[in-house]
Amino acid sequence: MKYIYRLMAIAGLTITLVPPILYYAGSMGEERMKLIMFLGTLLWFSGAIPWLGKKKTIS
Amino acid sequence: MQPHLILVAHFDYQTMTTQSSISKRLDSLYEFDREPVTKNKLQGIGNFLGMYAGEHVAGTEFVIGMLFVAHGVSVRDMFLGGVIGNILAICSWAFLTAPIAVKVRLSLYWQLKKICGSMLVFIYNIVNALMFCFLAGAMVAVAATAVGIPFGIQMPALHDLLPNSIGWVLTVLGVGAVITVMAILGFDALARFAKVAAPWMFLIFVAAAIAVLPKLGVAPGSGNFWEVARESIWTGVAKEGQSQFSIWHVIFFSWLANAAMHLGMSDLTILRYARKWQYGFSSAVGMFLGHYVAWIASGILYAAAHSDAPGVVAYEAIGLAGAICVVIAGWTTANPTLYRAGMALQVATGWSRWKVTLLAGAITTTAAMFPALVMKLLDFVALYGLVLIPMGAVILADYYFIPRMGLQSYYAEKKKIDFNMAAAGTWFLMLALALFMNFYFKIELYFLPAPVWIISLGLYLLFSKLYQKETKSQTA
Repeated sequence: MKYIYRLMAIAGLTITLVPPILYYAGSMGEERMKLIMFLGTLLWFSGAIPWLGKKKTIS
Repeated sequence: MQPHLILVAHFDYQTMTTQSSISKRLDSLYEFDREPVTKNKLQGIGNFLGMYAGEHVAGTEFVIGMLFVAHGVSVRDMFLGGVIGNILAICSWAFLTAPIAVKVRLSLYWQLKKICGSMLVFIYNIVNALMFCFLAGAMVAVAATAVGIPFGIQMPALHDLLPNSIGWVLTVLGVGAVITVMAILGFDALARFAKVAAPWMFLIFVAAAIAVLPKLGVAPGSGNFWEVARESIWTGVAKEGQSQFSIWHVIFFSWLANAAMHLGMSDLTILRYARKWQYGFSSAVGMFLGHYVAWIASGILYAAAHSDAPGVVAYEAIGLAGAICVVIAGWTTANPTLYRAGMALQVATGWSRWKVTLLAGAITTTAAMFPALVMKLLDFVALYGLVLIPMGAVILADYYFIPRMGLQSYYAEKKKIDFNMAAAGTWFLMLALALFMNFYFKIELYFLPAPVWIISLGLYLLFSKLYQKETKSQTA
């Protein structure tokens, strides 16, 4: 399960970063870019919270 | 009679009881880290890299990069000044804070208590708590600029210092209430959530900056980024009503934005877990991701926006993801800040954790209603460092120079005093001097922390020489 969460998180980050690059290159429209970035955000948190949320670090 | 003796002479029984109770409350609050960190609890470099990266990509970054643009920073000032200032900050962590942290391995609180005594640490904690409340207030206001978008509220502009509409006040009240209640109910869960959000937030900064480049006229393959940057982003001309910044402003601000943590020694608490002093260099990750790339990105975002409100700026650039990022950035920065403020206030009031967090939340929310906190964030951040760094100089002087002068370090602990007059005199006098220089000679706050820190070193040594001699002769 941890593997799936990790995959979801990385995919989320990727589809957060790629749309603005495609938009900048003129290969994607502004509204579509905004929508996909929002979906990427949801995907990142869905995967990253169970993956990284319990990790212990210095505080 | 020496000043400290006058002070002691005026203490009645009730004051002594209160003092002892404050001391006990402080000690119990920090009980878990009373002893130096043991070898088995030391942490690897990865933890420090992660912590610094997460801590310095925060809600403040949205505002600071934007304000640099508003203050007319030029391209060269931003890129070169940022590198120099951040290198100075990293060196301050690595060469000043980390070596003491790994040798002593005590938290800031215990280190200060041994030098200054309970009463002075208590005052320091209260000042720190108020500063934290105002910083959290700025973050509540930043989050409110995003939350208010669907309600169409009138957002504050650069020149707004007072609440500008009922809608703004109600939005801030709502955001402040939610943040406070969540900090009371689940601080730990939120702290973990902040760590999860950090990589995504950094990416959002970068992605949003890329997304607005076409609006600014930067076309792929045109190679005109630097030209656009010079003409439309960092123009070198301040906006109306804003003071003009030079490269010196960028250098000093980048260096001292976290002065409380390095020159002020707050990060002794973190770096005492480091295996080697060289781990202080891990702050480079936070400085160059958060205080360089993110500041540059938020400057680009602001140049393409039609608003001064961070929430609107991010929403215009990348839609909902941007607005969510501003809310989360504000929220996750305000959360630990509220917690720290609550801890300090808990000692003063003796109240339970939920009550003090509620009090800190009320102060924070009230402060957040004033857009001045956001629009003058650069000044506030500089002031925050300025107020706390004389005590960092006291710690450094006490560790390196006091023993070499034949004086006693950890004087308060050894003499069982609650108020080290040499440390208090240094702190109060330097603050008074800094304010005087600011008010009468109009020296900007950004340039004061460095000289104040250096003079504090010398002053503490001088005062200690006089004070320890006097105390010795009184006790003899």
